[in-house]
Amino acid sequence: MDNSLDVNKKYLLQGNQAIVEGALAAGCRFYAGYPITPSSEIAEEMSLKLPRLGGTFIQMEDELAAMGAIIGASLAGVKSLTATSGPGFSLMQENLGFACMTEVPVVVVNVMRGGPSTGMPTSPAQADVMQARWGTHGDHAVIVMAVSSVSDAYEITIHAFNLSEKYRVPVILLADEIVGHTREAITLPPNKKMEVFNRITPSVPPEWYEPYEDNSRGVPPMAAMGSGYRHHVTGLMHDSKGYPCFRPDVVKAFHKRMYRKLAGGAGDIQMTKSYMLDDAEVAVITFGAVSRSAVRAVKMAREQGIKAGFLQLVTLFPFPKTVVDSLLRQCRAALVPEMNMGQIVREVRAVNNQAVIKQLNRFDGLMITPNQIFEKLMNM
Amino acid sequence: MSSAPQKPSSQPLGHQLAAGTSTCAGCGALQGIRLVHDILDSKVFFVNAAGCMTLLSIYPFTPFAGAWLYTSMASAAAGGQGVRDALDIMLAGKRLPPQEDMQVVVLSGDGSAGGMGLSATSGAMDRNLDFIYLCYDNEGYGNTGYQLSAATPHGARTTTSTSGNPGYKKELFDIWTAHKPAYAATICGAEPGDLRKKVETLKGIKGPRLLLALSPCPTAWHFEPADTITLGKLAVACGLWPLKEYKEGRLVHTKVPKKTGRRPQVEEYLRLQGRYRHLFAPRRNDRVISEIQNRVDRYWEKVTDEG
Repeated sequence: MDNSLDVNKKYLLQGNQAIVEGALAAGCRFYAGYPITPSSEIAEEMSLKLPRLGGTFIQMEDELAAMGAIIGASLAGVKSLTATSGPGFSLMQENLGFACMTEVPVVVVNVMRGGPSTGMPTSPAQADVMQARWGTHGDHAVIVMAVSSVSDAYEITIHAFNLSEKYRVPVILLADEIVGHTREAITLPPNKKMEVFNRITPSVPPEWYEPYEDNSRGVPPMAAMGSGYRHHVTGLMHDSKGYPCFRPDVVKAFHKRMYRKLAGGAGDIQMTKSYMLDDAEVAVITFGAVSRSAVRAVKMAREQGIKAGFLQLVTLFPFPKTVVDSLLRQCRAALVPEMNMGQIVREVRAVNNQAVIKQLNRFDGLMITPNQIFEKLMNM
Repeated sequence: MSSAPQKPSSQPLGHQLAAGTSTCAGCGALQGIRLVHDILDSKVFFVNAAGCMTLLSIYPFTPFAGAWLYTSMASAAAGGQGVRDALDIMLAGKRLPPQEDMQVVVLSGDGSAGGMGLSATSGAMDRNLDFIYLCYDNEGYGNTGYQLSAATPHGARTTTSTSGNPGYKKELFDIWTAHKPAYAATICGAEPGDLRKKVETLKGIKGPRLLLALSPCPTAWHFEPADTITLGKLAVACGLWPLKEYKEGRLVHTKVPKKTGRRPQVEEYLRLQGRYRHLFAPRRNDRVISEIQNRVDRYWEKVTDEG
């Protein structure tokens, strides 16, 4: 692992900076982006750090171009990142679909702000959850993760790159204005603890290589363009060789493999963190910056004798059904606070529609406070 | 008001753009927009692309007497197309009296104008849309903390070109004139006489019309807000910002600086700005400074050669 910072040393970093450090540690050496609040610091840090590590930073003319560039760089064999916020994320959707269709590993950071449209550039929100999952058209497989703190931002960015490489899939990393702009002390984990995964390259001779050939994992090895392997990449529906093909059996098999490869890796992909859940009778289930309020609220509830616990969804999609299902069976009720009008709560309800699941939504540009969660918990 | 150039004494007393906006002290963009708006009069429909001037209209205050539409960053010219077409439909149907017609003015920074807004602008020119495109060029993405834009000049430091821009300023004026628009001009708020003549001229013309305004930015260029006018005048005097006009297919320079050797050196202009400080300290970077000077000299030699 190649950190631009020293390990085992304390740093005061902004969430956006920690994302940069995580990306560099994961081996990211290409960044293409476009300035937008509240994500611009990611571009600014990358412009300083990447050249020193032999990487490339490019400022593109818009977000369509930013997505296009990172797909190109990844296909040529370099781990790539872009970062944006609401309006820019909307512009990236077409190329995100291209990356899904062509199975190109890239990481896209969306530091969420109030929407829709220009919305509230300097206020936090968590309202792009469904867009992250379903923003591009057509059925597609994608991984969506969320970070809640500066240390999370570092670690989960590394996981995001690893999953992206391992499953040949775009990973969308959701932060929000609070996490992006909060400065916290962070001690970097030692090199040994954070494993870095690189995409599997073909071991067969070039004439045998099929870039989209199915295997037990559903993830074909990926040859870098220019490495001697024929690599035909198209956004059209394609066969195992990568050539356009609309044969119903091929199309069906393609879609099935896309979903199978992520379902097969569920244990690896669906990350959660838990807090005081062992004996919990009521659970708070949330993600991102709201996690911080949830931890505090759970402590407050425990002080009042309520057996509360907290599940942080690190991976939002594919939704961690198994963990949530067993939690809903264990607890008499669950509360899903989120800074939107109710998005991830639908996924929780879809897991078990018999369970008592309450929601707490705030969509006024302000953070959900520990007190708000605590008061809800007291009435459950 | 006639479309013929007016004497400065006929400058209106009141202003179309109210004072007290939330732009930075010494904003060169605001200076240019105020002057242009005064001359255009009150019947202006602004279509704004995301940028610094978005901050002109912040709830619950607006400095505008007229209409304001804030579109997405890439589509201000497309928004302008819809507005102009709707006004024409209203006029044709006699639902809008001719005296109530409005000038559609797309207002955009250099980031949108020279980058992601270019496709929509090019399309609007293809369709010969009757509109004014007012670009305040502060040579970077000012609203997000001053990152590099296509209009950032060579050697200038921004937050994403911390050792100075290795590239060169994109020539938006040339991109426009390649489309053969009805009118195009460069202006600067620090040169109000020249600005006034151009806006008066453009008022009498229909079709796509560009006003490209150099907009010194104290916040990002790092100079004292009191020096905005000094900077603007110096940019023109040293030849870095050519004041020119494209009309009926002909290009004219409206203010030619003094000959090489007699006009101020670009160094004088660069030295006033923190974004060029690295060219002078800790060591003087003669290569970049003389390259900037040579490019200016070559530009004006060519202008003189062509008469």
